[in-house]
Amino acid sequence: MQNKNKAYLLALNAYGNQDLCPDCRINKHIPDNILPSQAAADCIKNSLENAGLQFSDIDFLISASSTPDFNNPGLSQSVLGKFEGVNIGAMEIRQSAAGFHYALELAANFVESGIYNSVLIVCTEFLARAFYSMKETHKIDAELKNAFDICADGVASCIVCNSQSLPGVRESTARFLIKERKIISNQDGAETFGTSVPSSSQFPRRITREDVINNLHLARIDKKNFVQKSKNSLINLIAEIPVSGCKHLILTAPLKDYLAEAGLSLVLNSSQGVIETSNDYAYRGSASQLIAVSDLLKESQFTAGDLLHTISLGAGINMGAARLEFIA
Amino acid sequence: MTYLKSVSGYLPDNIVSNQYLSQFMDTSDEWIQARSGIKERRWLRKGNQVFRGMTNHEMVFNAAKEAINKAQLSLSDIDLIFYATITPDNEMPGSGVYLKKLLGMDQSVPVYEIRNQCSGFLYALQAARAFIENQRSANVLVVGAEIQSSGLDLSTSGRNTAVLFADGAGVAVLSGQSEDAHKLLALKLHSDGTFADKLGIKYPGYCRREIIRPADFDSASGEIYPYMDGKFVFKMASIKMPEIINEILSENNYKLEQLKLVIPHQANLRIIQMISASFGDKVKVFSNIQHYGNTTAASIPLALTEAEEQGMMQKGDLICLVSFGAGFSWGAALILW
Repeated sequence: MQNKNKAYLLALNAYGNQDLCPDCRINKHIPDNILPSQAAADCIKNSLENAGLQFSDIDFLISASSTPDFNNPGLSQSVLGKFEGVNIGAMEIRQSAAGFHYALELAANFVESGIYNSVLIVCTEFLARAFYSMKETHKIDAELKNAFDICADGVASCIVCNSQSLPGVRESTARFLIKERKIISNQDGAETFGTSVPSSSQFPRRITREDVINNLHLARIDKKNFVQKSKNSLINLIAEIPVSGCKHLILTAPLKDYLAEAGLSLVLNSSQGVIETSNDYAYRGSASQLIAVSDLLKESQFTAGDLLHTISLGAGINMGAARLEFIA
Repeated sequence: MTYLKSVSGYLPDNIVSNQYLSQFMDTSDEWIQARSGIKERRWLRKGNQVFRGMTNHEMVFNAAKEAINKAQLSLSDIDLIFYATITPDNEMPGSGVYLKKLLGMDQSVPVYEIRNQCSGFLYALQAARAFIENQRSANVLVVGAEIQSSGLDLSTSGRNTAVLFADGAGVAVLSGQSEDAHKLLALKLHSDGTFADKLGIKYPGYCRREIIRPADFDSASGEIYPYMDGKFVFKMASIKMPEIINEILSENNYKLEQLKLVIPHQANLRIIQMISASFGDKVKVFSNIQHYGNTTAASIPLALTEAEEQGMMQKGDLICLVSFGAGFSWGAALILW
């Protein structure tokens, strides 16, 4: 029996302060003096202001990020700390590039079940920052270079709520109905993309100076095996969340030209073509999806009733897909 | 409605006494017990011996199998996992997918990696509850697990935290089915990020160009080890934990006298005693920190497992789980046993 509440996505904002990253299609790096938590807070502030909302309208926060300010506590609390007097629950999830879909699924369940009325999602990835230290060290292998070549920084946020119009929300705020969604974790690809250290089972030190010199703390992608292990799962995901009828399709994978590499170019055929965010935007992890949607909104690429299909693949291999209907 | 079908735990065999720690740092059994109530703890680590040991997900594997059996379910009945830890097998992709591999689970089962420190288990419970009450999942594995020992500075400069933290794993099965299960009545969560710098670990971190530097390994600065403003954390925990217990009781129309047992996150025996004192010692408050130390996200499910084994809960009892930890983040859950 389906719960009666529906879940809507609105108040989308990407990049944060436009001064941070005026054209993220070209600029890969958010400036060094900006903390991930500050960029996320600025993005949220703009999300709320643009929509005519305040933090008191939000019941819960979900932060999806692989790149917190500090090892712990993570970004969810650091971000909340930038807003005085806000004491809502703040959850931190680590799902790599699938972070947006995992956050969306969780937020939609909170809202549809009635546990919360409105959930703020923020996706923050400072992926390029990690690779700065490579200049100082050596041991750059092909798998490390695969990651280095495409990684960039990005931040985006949105609100998931149980109404297309939260009290006070501006009429002009773009909103989508979350129609279908699914997340999976294909553990067979666990070793194809990720970091080695810090590792809690390495004794007596989770990370050593030698590990850093050997760049074991940086992400590596085994391109060939990532593609091979993920493509059947992707086909199954699309079978459950079909592409047909969707005006736009946005795919995020930690590789350029993933569809061509996987031989799946013809499988995903939307009437407007497919946006592979790692091609157009560089790989910005969980922030990639909303950055692309934000651009489509700015270019007035949606009319009421249009369907948007979104797919992401990240380390794990965690994967997600969702179909959203543009309302207004 | 969401039901707790079962809970189970795993603790390493290696018992580390306070006397053992005094080999590495300037401390004593009396000093540690006076400040924390801890007599001993379980570690996978063996002093400063270099080795690759049991993993976080291997600890969980043991507890998960038992929890699924106790719930009278099979592995294929589990359709979702929430894995709360701040000490994963690696930073990316974490521990959950490796647990799935070891258990031999279907690829389609999603696993969430939750990083909410000592409140991780309660945050994971709330997330599981959302899926179950929305009927998107039938049976959910909720994991709290930590290997803290590999991240501790065993020298005198690290003793404030090294004597506290420990290893362990706890797993609960949550379900929408009520048979032979306990009702999860309510759950409340809070955060206050203005105190994020009072307890945590700094690096690797993305606040600067190099996420980790050689100088970070210098034990004098200890940037890769846990740090804590002990007095402030103690003060806030002593205020917030009783406060949220009162909050969740009153919002759900229960009185303090109806509460049979409080199972708090096991951070410090003095905090646990403060919780009891704040209720005039009228409520029983469980503790096992004396033997297991602070196992962070594993602490509450381990305590719940032990309380159940000791027969501390009878059918119909109202119990409250309560946490407080780095962030700060805190939470409480009411269960009708």
